[in-house]
Amino acid sequence: MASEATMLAELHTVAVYTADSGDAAMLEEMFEQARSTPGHSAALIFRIEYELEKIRSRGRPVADSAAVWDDLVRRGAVRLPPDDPAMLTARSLRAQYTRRRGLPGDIDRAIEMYRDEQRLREELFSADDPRTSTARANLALTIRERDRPGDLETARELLEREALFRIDRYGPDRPFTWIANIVFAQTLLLLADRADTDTRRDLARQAADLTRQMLQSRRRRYGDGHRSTLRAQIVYAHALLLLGQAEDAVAELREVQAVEGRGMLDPGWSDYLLARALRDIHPGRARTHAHRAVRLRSTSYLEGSRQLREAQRLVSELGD
Amino acid sequence: MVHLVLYLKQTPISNWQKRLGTPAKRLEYYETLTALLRETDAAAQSRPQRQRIVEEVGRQSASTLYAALRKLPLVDAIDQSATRSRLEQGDIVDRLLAETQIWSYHDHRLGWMNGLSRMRAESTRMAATTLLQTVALWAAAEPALASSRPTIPPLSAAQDLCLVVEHHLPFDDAVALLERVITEATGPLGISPDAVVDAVYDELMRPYSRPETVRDAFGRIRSSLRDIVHVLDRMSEEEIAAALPSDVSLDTIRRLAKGA
Repeated sequence: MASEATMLAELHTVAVYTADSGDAAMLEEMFEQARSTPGHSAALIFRIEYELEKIRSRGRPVADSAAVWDDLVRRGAVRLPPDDPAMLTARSLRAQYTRRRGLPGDIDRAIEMYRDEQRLREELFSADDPRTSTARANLALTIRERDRPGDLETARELLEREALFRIDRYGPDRPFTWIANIVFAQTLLLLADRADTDTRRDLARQAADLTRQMLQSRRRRYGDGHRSTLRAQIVYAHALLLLGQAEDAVAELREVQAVEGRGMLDPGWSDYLLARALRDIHPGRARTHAHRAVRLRSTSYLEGSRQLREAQRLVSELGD
Repeated sequence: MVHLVLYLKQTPISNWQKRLGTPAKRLEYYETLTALLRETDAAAQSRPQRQRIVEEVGRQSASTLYAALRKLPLVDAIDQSATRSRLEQGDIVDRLLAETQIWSYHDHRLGWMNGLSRMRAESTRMAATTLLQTVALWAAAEPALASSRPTIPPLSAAQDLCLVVEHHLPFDDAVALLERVITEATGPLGISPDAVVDAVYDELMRPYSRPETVRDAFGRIRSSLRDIVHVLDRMSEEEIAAALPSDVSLDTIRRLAKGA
């Protein structure tokens, strides 16, 4: 029987491949093998299952994934310590899918989960540990997504602080720092969407400068067509859109759509922005993309969720 | 990547390990050194003295340690390089440390190769990044052994890296790159092997970015391109237009296939 170290190294290697290809078959095979071989630890089997569910979550309805992570975390908590690496991320993913499910009360539940997670990680590690840093950024992002009065401003403040902390501690050229920068830039754009013309331009300019740089860095690190690069590119396109450069935004979004594979980005995200970018240039095409955004989001999000309502609102704004 | 794995199983250090089999006397020293290092304050990064190791193994004199490492010496499995000279000129504990790291890393290496064997796509970049991840995982699991001075990585991993990037990376450069991996893996971001790879990624890409590496990569896909051109030459213009990506011309593919 292979040792735990061997199995773990194999899992890490396979997980890199599956994260790139989205193909869960190898992980399914590994999971079955590990489960049917007596002697493997509960931690190892849980870790394989966790990697497998991470890939499966990309392609199934958010509500189903939320239930799966809920169940995984409950089962894991019985057998594994709270600082088990897979348990840490499984709890984060449970909170993330609860947030994304969008049922009444979900967003508040997700905020509570992230608050608990941040507190726990501060106790287990320290306030400066990168794992605590991740929980802090996730909490800020979830407050932003709740979007009650004052939430966006709070999220902006928390994320700016987090981005500066990472620059200071790890340097500006680390992907770990880039993540905080991108989430911060996205928050600026959400604020810009509601601001008056002058403020909008300032916020969008700041977000565009930040994401242009992140996009170059991610292209260099991951290459075109990688999920991380596409995320930066789509946020950059959003910034261009708010700067009034709709045609440039369309060009960026078309590039995203040319290489975007299933599950790589939030469903309907590129179509939603394309519809907005095309509304004055080509209203017919804008409507097509808006309808497509609704269709794609409805495969992942429940009726009444914020994501679906946002796309439906755009469809009605664009008319028939 | 079954083919790559076949070659990885034949590296000089792989063959050296096979010839060693299960060397009971060496293993005693490997295990003792590992245990002593684990007891040592990791921040001190110091290594135990020869005499201490010998005593822990239960021997009176160091001659058994010399005798154990003399048979099939590791340096014979390493080409001429600064790393080899360092080992030759170093003391017996340096050599024991180098062997112990290879032994300790072995299970991780097996797992990495098993993972590569499962992959259907051939990607040397993926093989290289997962190798760095595996070394990072090992270093995080064995921080005392990985970061004891003088820091060297498991030399089997350095040979693997040279093979993966197809000999465009000198052995000493592979050793230096893996030393950086270990430094990162035993630092604050070591909890994430991905973050470790991110930190050294530009260095990893340097040998890939050389003109001869790119030429070799084209060389490998040329016969496939020739097959595609052969088929395209039998198709109508409409069929060609439908078959090719919108901004790629048949002429471009033909020139690449010919090696322009």
